Amino acid sequence: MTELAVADDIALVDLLDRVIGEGVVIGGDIVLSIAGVDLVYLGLRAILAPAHVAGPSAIGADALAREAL
Amino acid sequence: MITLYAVTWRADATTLYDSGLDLLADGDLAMVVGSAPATTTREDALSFGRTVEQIASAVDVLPFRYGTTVADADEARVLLREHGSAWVARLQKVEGCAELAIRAVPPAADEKRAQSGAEHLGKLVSRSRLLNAAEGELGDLLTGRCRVVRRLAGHEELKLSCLVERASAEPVRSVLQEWASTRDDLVVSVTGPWAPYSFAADGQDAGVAL
Repeated sequence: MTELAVADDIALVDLLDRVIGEGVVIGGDIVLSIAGVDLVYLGLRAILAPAHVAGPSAIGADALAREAL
Repeated sequence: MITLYAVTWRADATTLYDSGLDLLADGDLAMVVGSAPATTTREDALSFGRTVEQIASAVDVLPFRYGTTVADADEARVLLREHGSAWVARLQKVEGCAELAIRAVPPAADEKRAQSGAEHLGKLVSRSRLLNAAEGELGDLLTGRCRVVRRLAGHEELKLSCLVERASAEPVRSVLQEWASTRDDLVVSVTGPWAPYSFAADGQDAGVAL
């Protein structure tokens, strides 16, 4: 692999790292309760997406980065 | 479903009319959105990233994390209203800036397998000291050149993100590459300028303000 190709791959990994692991996330809070009794308070930093769309975030940047290489 | 790409200033958003993306405005802000792709592949993630970079080359942005989608434009407008004041403050902090990414890792030749637990721990300690020392040197080097430097998670390597004024990105990159060329004990890469992903969310000025 040439030096230029390696540099391109590193740039792709860094871009994926940012796209998947950084950026604005929509925050929210949720209180789980049963019969009107608050049981657990969760501070969420949720990505509002169905599982099939949010998949790569769960996989993580490293896995995608390896794939990119 | 629509994908959220970035938040920008409403006044600047007019330059994005030909981008093929939709703009939703509220107050001083505009949200750049597009239809959500049906698939989720590495190429989709890269395509999202390239689109954000294209937007960021024209205007100041707070990029959304890949995969952030909402049901429709009304839901997006609600988010814009709810988070508007926080996003205005955040956008002001990254105004005119881009992000440079630095990675430093010991060369692969140093990865010889440890013969004992003690040797393994010793190697981990040495690696950690080497990376911490490099972080200190880079902090000194970047003082006065970057607004903020943030260390990203990664115990096997040193990953830093620098918030730098766009006009200074290339000169700072040159300084970093010159430093990298003096380090035989580290493999260093510098990439960017990127949209300021690592400084887009609340609590991300946790780095060192320089």
